[in-house]
Amino acid sequence: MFTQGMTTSIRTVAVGSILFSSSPAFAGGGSYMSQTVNFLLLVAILGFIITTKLPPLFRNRAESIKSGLEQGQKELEIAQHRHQEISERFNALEETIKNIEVETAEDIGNMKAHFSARMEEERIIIENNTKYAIQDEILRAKQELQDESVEIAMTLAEDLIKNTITDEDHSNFKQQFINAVEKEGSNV
Amino acid sequence: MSNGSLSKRYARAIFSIASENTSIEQYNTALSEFVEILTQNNAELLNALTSPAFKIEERKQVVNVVTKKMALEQMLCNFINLLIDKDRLVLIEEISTFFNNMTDDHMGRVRATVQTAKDLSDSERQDVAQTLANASEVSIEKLIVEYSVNPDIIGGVWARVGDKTYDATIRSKIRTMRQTLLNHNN
Repeated sequence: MFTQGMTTSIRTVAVGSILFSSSPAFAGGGSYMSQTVNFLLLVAILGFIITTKLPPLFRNRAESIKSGLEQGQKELEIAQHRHQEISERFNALEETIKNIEVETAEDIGNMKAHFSARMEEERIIIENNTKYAIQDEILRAKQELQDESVEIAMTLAEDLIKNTITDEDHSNFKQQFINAVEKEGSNV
Repeated sequence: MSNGSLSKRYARAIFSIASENTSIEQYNTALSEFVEILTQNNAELLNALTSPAFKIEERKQVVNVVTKKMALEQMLCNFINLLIDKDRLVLIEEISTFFNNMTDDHMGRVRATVQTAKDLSDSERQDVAQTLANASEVSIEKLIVEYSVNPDIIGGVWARVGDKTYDATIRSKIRTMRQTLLNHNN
C-alpha cells in the first residue's frame, strides 16, 4: 500500500514538472521570477501531497504493522504455548522412558536371578538323577555279574559231576535217598 | 461243566457198573489197553474218531473192529459207543485215568514213579520200593512202582508216591545251591 501511494505521488510530481517545463515561459529560458513561481508551485504541490496523501498512507502502514505485530505476538504466544506443551510432553516422555529403563533393568535382574535359581535347581536334579542312575547301573551290572558267575560256576559244577560221576556214586546216592526217606519222610 | 468233572462222572459211572460185576480190575486193564491203542500207538486213529468229518456210524464201525480184536467186554464196548454217540470220545484218556485212580483206591493200591540217572538193579529197585512203601505206610505188594531213567537228574533218586514227591537228585541239589547263591547275591 505504501509503495503504491509513493508511486502515485512521484508520478504526479513528474507529470507537473513535465507540464511546467513544456510551458512557454520555461521554453523561453524564463526569468528569475518565473523560476521562483515554478518552484513555489512545486513546493505547494509537494506540500499538498505530503499533507493529504502521505498521512493516511503512513497510518495504514502503521496499522498494518501493528496488526502484523499483534498477529505475530499471538502466533508467538501460540508457538510458545505449543513449545511448552511439547516440552512438557517430551519431559514426561523422557521420564516414562527412564522409568521403563529402570523397570526393564529390574525385570532383567529379576529374570536373571530367577533363571539362575531355576538352572541351579535343574542342575541339582540332573546331578542327583545321574548319580542315582549310575548307582542303579552299577548295582545292576554287579548283580548281573554275580548272577552270571553263579550260573557259570553251577554249570561247570554240573558238567564236572556229570563227567566224573561213577557207578559207585550212583549207588551211594541211591543209598542216601533210602536213608533220607527213612529218616525224614517226604521232606527229602 | 468242565471236561475234568465230566470225565470224572463218566469214570464213576463205569466204575459203578464194574463194581456190580466184580470185575473192576479187568475193566481197568481193558480200558487202559484200549486207550493206549488209541493214544500212544495210533494217535491218528483217535483224531479220526473224534473228527466231525466222519459220521458217527463210521466211527462206531472202526471202533467195533478194534474192540472185537481186543475182545473187550460188551459193557465197555457199549460205553465207548455211548461216548461216540455223545461225541465225547476225546475224553476217553482222562476217563481212563480217573477210572484207574478209582480202581487203585478201591484195591488199596498206591502208584509210584521213580526216576534215576542210571538204571537200577532188581535189588536196588526192591530196596527203593520197600523204602517208599514204608514211607507211604502201604504194603510193598500194594505199591506199584514205575521206574524210568532220566540222565538230566545227573545222580540220585526222584520219586513220587501219590501226591508226595521225594527229590534227592544232584540236579535238585545244584538248583538249590544256585538259588541260595543268587539269593545271597541279592
